[in-house]
Amino acid sequence: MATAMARWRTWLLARAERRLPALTRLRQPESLPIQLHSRRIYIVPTRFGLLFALVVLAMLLGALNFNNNPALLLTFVVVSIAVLSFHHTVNNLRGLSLEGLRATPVHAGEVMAVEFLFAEDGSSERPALILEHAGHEVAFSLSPGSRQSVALPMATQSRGRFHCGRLRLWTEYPFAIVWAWSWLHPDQSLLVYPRPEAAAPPLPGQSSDAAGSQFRSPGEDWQGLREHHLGDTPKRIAWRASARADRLLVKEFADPINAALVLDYAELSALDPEQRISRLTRWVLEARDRQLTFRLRLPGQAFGPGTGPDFVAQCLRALALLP
Amino acid sequence: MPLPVNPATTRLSALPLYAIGAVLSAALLAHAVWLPWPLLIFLYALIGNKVLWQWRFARALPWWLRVPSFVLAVTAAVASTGSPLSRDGGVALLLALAALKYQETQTLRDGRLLIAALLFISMTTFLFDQNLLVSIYTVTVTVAAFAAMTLLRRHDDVSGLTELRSTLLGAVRGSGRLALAALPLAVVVFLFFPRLGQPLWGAPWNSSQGKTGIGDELRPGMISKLWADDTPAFRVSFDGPIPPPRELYWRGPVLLSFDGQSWRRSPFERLADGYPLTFDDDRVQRYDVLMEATDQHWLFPLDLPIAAPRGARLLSDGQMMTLRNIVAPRRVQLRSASHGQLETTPLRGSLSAARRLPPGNNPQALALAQRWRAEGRDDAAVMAAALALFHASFGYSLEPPPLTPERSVDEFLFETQSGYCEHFASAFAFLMRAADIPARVVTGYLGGIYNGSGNYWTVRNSDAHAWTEVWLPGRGWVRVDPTSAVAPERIDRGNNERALPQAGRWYNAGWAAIWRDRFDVVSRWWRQRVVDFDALRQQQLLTPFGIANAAINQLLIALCIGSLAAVLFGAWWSLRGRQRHANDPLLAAWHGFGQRLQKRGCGRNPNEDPLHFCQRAARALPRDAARILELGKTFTRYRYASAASRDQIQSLVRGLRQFRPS
Repeated sequence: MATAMARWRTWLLARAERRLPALTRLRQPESLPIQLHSRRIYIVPTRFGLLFALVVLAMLLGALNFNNNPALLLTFVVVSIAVLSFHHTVNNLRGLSLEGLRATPVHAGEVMAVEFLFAEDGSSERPALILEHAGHEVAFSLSPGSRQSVALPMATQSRGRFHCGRLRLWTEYPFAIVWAWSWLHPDQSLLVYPRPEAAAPPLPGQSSDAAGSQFRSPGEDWQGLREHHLGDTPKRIAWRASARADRLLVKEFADPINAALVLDYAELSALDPEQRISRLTRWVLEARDRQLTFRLRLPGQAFGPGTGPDFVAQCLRALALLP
Repeated sequence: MPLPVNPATTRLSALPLYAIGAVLSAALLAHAVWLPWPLLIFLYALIGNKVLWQWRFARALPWWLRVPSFVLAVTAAVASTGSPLSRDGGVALLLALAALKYQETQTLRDGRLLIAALLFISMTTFLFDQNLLVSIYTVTVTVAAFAAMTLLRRHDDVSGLTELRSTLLGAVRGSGRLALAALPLAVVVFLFFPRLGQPLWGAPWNSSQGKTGIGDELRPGMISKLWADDTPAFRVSFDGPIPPPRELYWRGPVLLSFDGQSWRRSPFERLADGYPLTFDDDRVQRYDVLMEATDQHWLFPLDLPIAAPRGARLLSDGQMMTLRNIVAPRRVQLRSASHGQLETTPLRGSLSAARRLPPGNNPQALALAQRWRAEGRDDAAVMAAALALFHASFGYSLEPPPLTPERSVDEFLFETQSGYCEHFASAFAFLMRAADIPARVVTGYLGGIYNGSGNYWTVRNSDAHAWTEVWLPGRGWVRVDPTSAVAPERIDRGNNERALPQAGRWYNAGWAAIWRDRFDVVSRWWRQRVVDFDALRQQQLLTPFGIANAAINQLLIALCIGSLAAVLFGAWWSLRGRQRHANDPLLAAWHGFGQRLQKRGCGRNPNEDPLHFCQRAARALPRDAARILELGKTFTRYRYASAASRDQIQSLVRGLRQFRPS
């Protein structure tokens, strides 16, 4: 029964959204900040609201039938309180704004805690707000003029740009007779790193006995000059040589370990593109864990050599955004 | 903090459970007047048990407590109050079920269900009583139910007394404010909502069951039962001069037949198609009576009534009764002749019934009266002898020794010699009949309390009285009050309490009397304007707008316009209330300060900090520059930098409030 009801409701909603996009505000993502105004707040009785209406109807009939004026007055007081509470329910959302969202990137398949930053316009206390997305709900409240970030867990599927999709912000405050909601569909995307390969081979060109020398700083043995690539550190530009050659040249140093640790997309030609990305991701993570300096070569891009969280993030980002 | 969606599985925390328990207890209290006390105590025990269990173990009651209490409560409710289809039985069962539901309340859905039921239960209070106090109490309980409803959604438990206090206060304040905002809408709808001409089902349940009142029988002890009852029986306002209290005899049932034990109404009463009253047109009292519901048909006109109002009839012996029982407060306009003469020429057969005594009853009294007659005394002399007898050796007592019913007159006259109005009236009427003088007992009320605040008289049930009438040739039925021979102060004051042992009740003290009078004025207004409001008065509502007898569609239009305006007003008022800085006087004062500057053309930008704003304002209003800057700096310092003392903040608040741009 309940599942049938739920299915029917889903079907009805889907249909309404297809037919009445203006009403349900499904489609267009909006740019932030999203300000909730009355026209985008919808209000519908809850199931308890229907029960409440039945009780009030019974009270009304009884009072009218027995011509009992105090009872009739009480009934109308109850009805009036309920009617005014509708305004309070809508008002609990009105004037609220979603100012931004952010999340620490995760790898595809992991759960991302997306934080939504809500701001109150300074008019009133807003208790019992609920942010809902794909069956997850978070309750929060805002005091006048405050900002608060609310975290919702979201499942990620694939690498790249992640759109959180449509969220519902709703409230039943104060009496749960009606519930008011508004759709939030921010157009801001978040980043999801590729899924690291589960059972990847060890890092290329690494042997366990070389691990002892990994902390050697690069750049002891002069090797030669090469063309400047985007991302090369300016310290290494050979200014004199560049001036002579009329183009930017970079000094290259022989570094036995780092020379060996090149994570190259092109070398993994046996795999299909997603598998390559997945493996490279795993290697990048491994290099990060072992604090190795490495290079990453992707089609049309090259990074490094480098190390540290920022460099790793840069690499993962590039991997995530590969076409 | 993920939150389950389903109200059926969301568990209520302790605070909302206690809140529901409190509201339920309060709703139950309103029924304490009539509910059989064992049932009442049992229901309270159920509620208390649940609260204790929650407090001690924080979980649901086990089945071995719930099942027996269910069986017990339902059985007790049905057994002690009768059929669930009757008013008492139905409401008692409803109360029992609510208490039982409370026992098993665990989830959000249970809580909501119970609160919805509580709203209905509150309303049932009005099936029993509709007076002002009950109404105020019931509305309060309803608002409390709404407050409990706001608490239901709290998922986190409140820790600490301060937080508890602020949470409860917030809920009560919020729903109270909402109720205030809702009041205009409720009143508009109440005034214009169409009323039913005929009930949809059943006869209205009366609202006065179990109330005492004067009936058609006089038995020892009947009236004394009423003395404990200080509730108003009716209220009277006079057009014109008010007769002295000793003449305020409110005439009720006339008891003609005596069976040796009690006085009853005669089965042979006739309608007064030729009501045998002769009276002087100059001495007619016009007055307005607002009867409380009694579930009887008696009206109590001032002695002697002239004509029956619509919906009532007048019998030849001056009894007035409504055609239907008075189940709701009712207002009638009456006329009485203060010096009229009733039945100067006897109607056929009326006097013989007034002379009849059961044979062999109370032989001593019979012998006494016959001896007076044998001594050659006329009617007046016999009456005087009887009154002299009472005056000489009889005492007025509220708690006389008990009498044997079969020889109550003999015992009273020759042994106990102490009693109150019904003993004297009964004995006197018996003596008169024994002396062959037609006599009958009249019951009703005597006197009343004058309410100076409202210029009307309140006659309470405790003013119940019994007196006699004898028929004298050429004068008709003449009122004789034998009690006056014994306790004249009872008659003069027109207020038994001061002559009686209960005198000096606290509410008769000076200040209390004033407030009691004022409250009674409001009570009477409530009775007349709200409880008595009907379709007829509804039609007159639009008279100020030039519509004398409003038709239903005009009323509906008024309903629509009025409720729209009231909704807008209510929403505006209650939402505006939310924007005030109720908890932060400093911020409120600051906003007032900003508004005053705005009126001088220097509005505050939302993104401007206080100091910059003040500097800009100081430039715009150079004459107040120093003061503005000082206030701005102090405000910034207190609000953002240092912890200021309460006195400092108060003086700043004062400064901000008192500031006026010159």
